[in-house]
Amino acid sequence: MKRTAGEYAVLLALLDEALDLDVEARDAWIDRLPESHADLRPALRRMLSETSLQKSADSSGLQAQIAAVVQNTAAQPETTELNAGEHIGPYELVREIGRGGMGFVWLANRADGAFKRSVALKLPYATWAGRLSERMGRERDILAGLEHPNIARFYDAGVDALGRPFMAMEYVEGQAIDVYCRERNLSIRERLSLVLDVAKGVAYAHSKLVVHRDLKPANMLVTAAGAVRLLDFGIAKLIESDTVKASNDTQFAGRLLTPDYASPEQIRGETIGTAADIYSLAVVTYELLTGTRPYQLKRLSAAQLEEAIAKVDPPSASDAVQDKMVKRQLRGDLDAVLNMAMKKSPADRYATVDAFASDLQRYLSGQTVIARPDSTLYRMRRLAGRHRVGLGAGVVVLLALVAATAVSLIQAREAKRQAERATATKNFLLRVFRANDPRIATDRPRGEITARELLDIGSARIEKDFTGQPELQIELLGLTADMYDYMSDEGHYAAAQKRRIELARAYYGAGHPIVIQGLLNEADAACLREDYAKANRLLDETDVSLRNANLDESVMRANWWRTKARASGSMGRPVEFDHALKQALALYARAAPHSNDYAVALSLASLDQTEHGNGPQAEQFLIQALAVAQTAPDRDDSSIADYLYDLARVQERLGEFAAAEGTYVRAECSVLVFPRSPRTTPAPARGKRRRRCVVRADVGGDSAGLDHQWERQGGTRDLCGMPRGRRARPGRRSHLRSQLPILCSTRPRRFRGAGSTA
Amino acid sequence: MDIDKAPDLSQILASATDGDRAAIDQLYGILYPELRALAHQRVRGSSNAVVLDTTSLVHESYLKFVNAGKIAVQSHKQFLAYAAHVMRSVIVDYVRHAQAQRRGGKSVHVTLDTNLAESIESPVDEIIRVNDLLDELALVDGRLVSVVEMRYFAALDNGEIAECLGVTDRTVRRDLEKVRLLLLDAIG
Repeated sequence: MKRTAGEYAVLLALLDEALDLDVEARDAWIDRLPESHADLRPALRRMLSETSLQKSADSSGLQAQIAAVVQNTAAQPETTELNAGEHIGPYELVREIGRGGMGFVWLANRADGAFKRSVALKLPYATWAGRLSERMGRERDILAGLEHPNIARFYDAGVDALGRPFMAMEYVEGQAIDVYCRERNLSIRERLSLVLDVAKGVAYAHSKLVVHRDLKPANMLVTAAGAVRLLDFGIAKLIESDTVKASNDTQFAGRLLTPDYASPEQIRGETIGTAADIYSLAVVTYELLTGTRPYQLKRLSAAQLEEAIAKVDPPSASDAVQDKMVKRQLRGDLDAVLNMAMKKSPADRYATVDAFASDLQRYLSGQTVIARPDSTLYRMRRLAGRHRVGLGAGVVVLLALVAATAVSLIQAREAKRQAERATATKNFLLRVFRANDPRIATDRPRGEITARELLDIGSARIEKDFTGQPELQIELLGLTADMYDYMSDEGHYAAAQKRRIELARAYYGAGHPIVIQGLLNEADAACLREDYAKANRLLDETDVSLRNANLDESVMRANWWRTKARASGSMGRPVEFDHALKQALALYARAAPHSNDYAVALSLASLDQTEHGNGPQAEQFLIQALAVAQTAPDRDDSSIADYLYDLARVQERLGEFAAAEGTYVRAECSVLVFPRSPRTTPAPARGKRRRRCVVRADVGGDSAGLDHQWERQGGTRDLCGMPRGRRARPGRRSHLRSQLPILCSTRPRRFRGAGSTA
Repeated sequence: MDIDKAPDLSQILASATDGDRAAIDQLYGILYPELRALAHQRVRGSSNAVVLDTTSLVHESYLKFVNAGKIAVQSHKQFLAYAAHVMRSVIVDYVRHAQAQRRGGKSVHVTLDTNLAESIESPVDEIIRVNDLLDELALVDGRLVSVVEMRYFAALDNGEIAECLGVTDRTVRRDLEKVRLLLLDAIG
């Protein structure tokens, strides 16, 4: 009985079970089999009764028979022992011109007197006589009908009287295309022009519905006169035995396939169409232009090979060559053309070989090619696709993100998006810092361009490089805004931020956290400039947006209350301030109890209490702020250090000197953990010692004197190289803040998390 | 093939064991003609009384490569497994060839005795059946196929097979028993 692989798998498993049982127990076992196996019961019964009868039977009978067959057949002439002068079908062998895994190739003459011509006679090792001759009958006429100057003619195919199959083809004297190019040291243009000739032949065959299936340099000969001739059109299909095809034994199934040039669909054993030839031709072109193959497959296992061809993107052609001149020629258009022709999915490739050839022709004549470089989004998608199957380094990021958020579908999707963003960010930064990129104009030697200048160049390119991908534009503008913020570059910061808000408003709508937070930051900045009209207008606008977007119970609304509090405070409206701050604290406690935003609001409350001379309450708020900040998922040690310094100061004022000293030590430790700038690294230990001295010296002293000492310490720290931008944040210089208008001492703290956690 | 011109088999075997398809191709291309040539030498160089067994073909081809310095002794196990696979192809091709002849191919070289032709009718069919079954089972259990190839087509003994494949003797016997039963099933 003919069975499927699935049935065999089941049968083998069941037999294993049954053979472990005692003979007597087997019948009962068969009866107990689940209904799903009911149809196998008779077969099992029959098989198992056989074993009980012939328990000791062995295979010696079959082996003897095999020996007899070998003996008989081996006595006959040997297809592998071919000699010149021997006849196969109507052909007389002249000399062997090649042999490979598949068979021999002989130069032969047609010798039946019909007409005399030399042919290349292909003689497969195997004699799958029956099936092969059937197939040959079907294919022969089609192949013989291929007449094109770039295709070697297929004359005849058949099986001779001894059952030896043969195929007679035009004998071409020439060199394989790769050897030809190499030996003559052809230019890129000359190589491409040969590829175009190959493409003509392929396009012609495709028009006759014949797919080559095995395009490789060895099958593309160039004659001494420079004419291109394609060999073996359609032969792969002819030779491929049913046996081999049916067997999924990957080790041996690929016997006839040339994996280096095989398309992903071929590797996967899917239906092969003309797109497979386009892919293989592109791989050959890649190799002719770069001297290497896109995939280095030599030491890969079958599974790895499949994985690589099906999933890994090869380096672009220009990245594959060392020669600067060649690199320049390949970069851009040719990279794009080859990339398109080698797409994993047949549907993404050029629709026809002609389209591929036309694009190459366009390149040669200096016109714009149709193929475009992959959009970042496309690469992201592919990357994400790889993540799904658990490949690639980025998967670690994804897994971490997935683990951090309990796995639900939505969260997993979010994690993927974050992974994509992370990758885009990384790529963007890499590009920004490609300092030796000759395309970056500069009047100074390479390596002397500052990171700042690179950032200027990079940020100016964001919108161009990520055209049509607003999400990434917004993300990257946020990133550059942050970097300018760190550099205290207000102008660039504001410009990037402004553009980011514009884009976010257009893309996400006015209710999006990025827009609202951006406007709140602007409101804070307006307060600082004492532009209260603008601050109020922005607060009103965001108030409406939050309500409309149904965000009144969200952390964004809490942020709104906090900004409202800041504005009210700086406008001298204590009642409004108190109300807003209470609202903010209550909402944070509900909506974001472990966020840095909450901690900032608590430190604001502490500051307010200090201003009102309520030391113990100020201390409580700061302790709470520290507790919150230390449990925030995006823990920010520099803020924690600030809260600690503030706390130490409050404790000093309260006369709790021992506690204050301990807090100072903790503050210094957290500075050690989180060095603010490389230049400050030697400083903290020294600073710590000094500060402890200061604290001790002032034990029992008045706070004015302490402030004076403290001021000097601050000065020392600045000389140590504390970046000014970082210092110029609220909560950092509490000793100065009291001298400035309340609660609006410096540019407000921004909420970096708002864009990426929304 | 002139064995001295053959490439180093140890390396190719190692690559083939890693699944390198080019190496598998190459190995097949070397072993197939080699095993056939050996079989023919044997039959022609001796009287008909000599019983030709495939085991000795496989072992002898191995020794030839060893003597020519083309294979490391450590590669023996890998070699046997591949040789058995190639031997299966050689035998099946012989069988198909024989079938083709009986279907009316004109052979001027050998006239088969009618009785002999009939007497080998059954083994020929059985070999093809085993081959077809193995093609099916290759989808399901590669090791089982190797066991059968080594046992039936290369006539290695169970101990040798177990050692080559790194399994127990019992596993080999169990695999062979299962295939024997499946063959019965295939006939029915």
